[in-house]
Amino acid sequence: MEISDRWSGSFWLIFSILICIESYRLGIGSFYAPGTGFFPFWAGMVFGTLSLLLLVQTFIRARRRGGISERIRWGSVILVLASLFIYAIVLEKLGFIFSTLLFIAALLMIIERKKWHIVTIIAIISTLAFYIVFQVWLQSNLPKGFWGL
Amino acid sequence: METIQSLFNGFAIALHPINLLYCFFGTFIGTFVGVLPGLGPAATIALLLPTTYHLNPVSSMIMLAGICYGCMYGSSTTSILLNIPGEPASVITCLDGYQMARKGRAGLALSISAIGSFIAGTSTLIILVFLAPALAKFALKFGPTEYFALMVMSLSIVTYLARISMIKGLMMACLGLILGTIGMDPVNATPRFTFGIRELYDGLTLPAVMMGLFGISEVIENVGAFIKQEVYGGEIKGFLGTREDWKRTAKPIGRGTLIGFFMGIFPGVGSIVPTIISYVVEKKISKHPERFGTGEIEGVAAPEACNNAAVGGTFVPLLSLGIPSNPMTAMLLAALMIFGLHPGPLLIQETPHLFWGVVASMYIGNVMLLVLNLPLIPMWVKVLKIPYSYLYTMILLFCLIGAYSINNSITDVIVMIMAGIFGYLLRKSKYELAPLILAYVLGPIMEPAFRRSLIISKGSFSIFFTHPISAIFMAVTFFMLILPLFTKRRVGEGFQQDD
Repeated sequence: MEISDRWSGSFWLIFSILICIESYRLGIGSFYAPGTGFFPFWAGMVFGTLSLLLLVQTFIRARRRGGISERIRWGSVILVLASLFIYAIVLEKLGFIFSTLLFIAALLMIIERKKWHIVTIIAIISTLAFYIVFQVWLQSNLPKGFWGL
Repeated sequence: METIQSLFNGFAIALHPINLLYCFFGTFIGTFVGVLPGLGPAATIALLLPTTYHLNPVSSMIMLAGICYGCMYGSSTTSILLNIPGEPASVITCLDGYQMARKGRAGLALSISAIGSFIAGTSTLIILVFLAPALAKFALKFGPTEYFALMVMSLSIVTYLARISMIKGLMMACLGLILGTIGMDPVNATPRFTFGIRELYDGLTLPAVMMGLFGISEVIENVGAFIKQEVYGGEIKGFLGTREDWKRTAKPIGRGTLIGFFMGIFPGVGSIVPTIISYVVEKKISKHPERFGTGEIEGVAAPEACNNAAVGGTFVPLLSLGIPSNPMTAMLLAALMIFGLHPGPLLIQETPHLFWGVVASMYIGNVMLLVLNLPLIPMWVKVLKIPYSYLYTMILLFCLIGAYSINNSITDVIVMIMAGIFGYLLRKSKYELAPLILAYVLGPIMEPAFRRSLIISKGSFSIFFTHPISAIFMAVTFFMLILPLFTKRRVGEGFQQDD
């Protein structure tokens, strides 16, 4: 049992209680006429019970010290997530081509520290490739930005 | 006779140039992602799902099925050459495969695994052709009660096989069921857990969730880790081996095939556990069990045949009952539903061209893989030398654009990113994703079946135990749930589950 289980167990316990409350509000109905909230309510009840069991286990069983021992490059993780969110936000405003060029440049230059001329070439080639696959071949309506690009 | 006739029709469909092309695409992409550690078949199918909206269902399914078995071929390459399993189902191949490579027998290990996979892949199809339609016919008798019990049983098997903790596995199954209720109530169309967001009325978009859970979260995990890849530098030669080598592998291939197929049939088993069992069996009956782990050829042949046979096996419950066995087949189920088909016992009857076309294409795909793969091994080794930084940028972009193009909506993109973060946190705190995804896909089918059963029985739960077929399923479920209390170690503990 790891210490992190105590955190996740508590989180899921609260989560399941909220699910049960919301399901109750939706209307559980009865066993012979189950309502909208019936299924999530019982799933939530079982979920909550299991979370409680997990929590209890962390107190009974011998603890493994140290928690997550591996090293994680949190900086890169957060930068990648930030670029994903920024891409989602700017996609419909800047259009597909500009957003994609920026996204590739951001990942390769800021996180991976590649040289700028390599990044430029890769960004242009891959944006073009994605454009051909999704817009030309599969005809998905990719968002357009400035100058109709 | 009817079966043979249908199979011939299937070949006529599968041999159509367009379908041949998609079959090739599928097997090629499958091998590619199999070679790449860090991108599994489930995520790949999720990635390609939006692109298949514009194709016809048969071509799409042929391509997606190709990914499933192509992946098994590809992942053995990395297990043997790098000691890195491309897929969890090839973890076992590392044990003896990599040792063979270190002894300079990489070529033989690769060809044994390719030919073993081929034999297993094609021979299981012969059984599949007869078994799936028969099973579907039998399942026509199932009412909502039997269906509900069957789905509960599959979920209990998946959680039993969860390697880390049974409680956590069950928790993930419950969470999947709850997430599956987001959107409209299937019975009376009341919105649930939508918080007034209109886009959520149809539920969370499945491909977006899958891309997040399996694609994005895996990239984040790899970006966050310090990985160093070392590619086997030696020359790969000696594909043919000696006559003695082939003689030794014939029986293990046969046993691996049988174990893989017949275990794979059980809904919820998937393809990892059978490979572990087949390895253990070979070791048990070998005259030199102590040599296993030092580069025994049987230790490569049996599990490699087994993982391909298991893929064939998992197609039986998928196509005849509409029940997925692992995240990979869960995605195929989702694909069938997106195409507007009704996975279940009527699938084969209603859309025979799909069933027979896909099955026939699997024969052809296996031949393609055998012919293409051995000569292409040097190319796959080069693929492994692509720096991960470029690779993950492309995977992320594919996910982003793929998610957007499902409904041309940013909401799906946000759902995907959130699912990615969520999946990463779950992986890090050692929760398994397989029960979550299976429950999430099955939930919307389970709920109406459950509610209808209760209405039929006027609110009595005894209905699940008095109907004989459903009682059997419930007994298996019960057994699966109490088993961990009596066994100390479970099969394959410490291995990651299918994804």
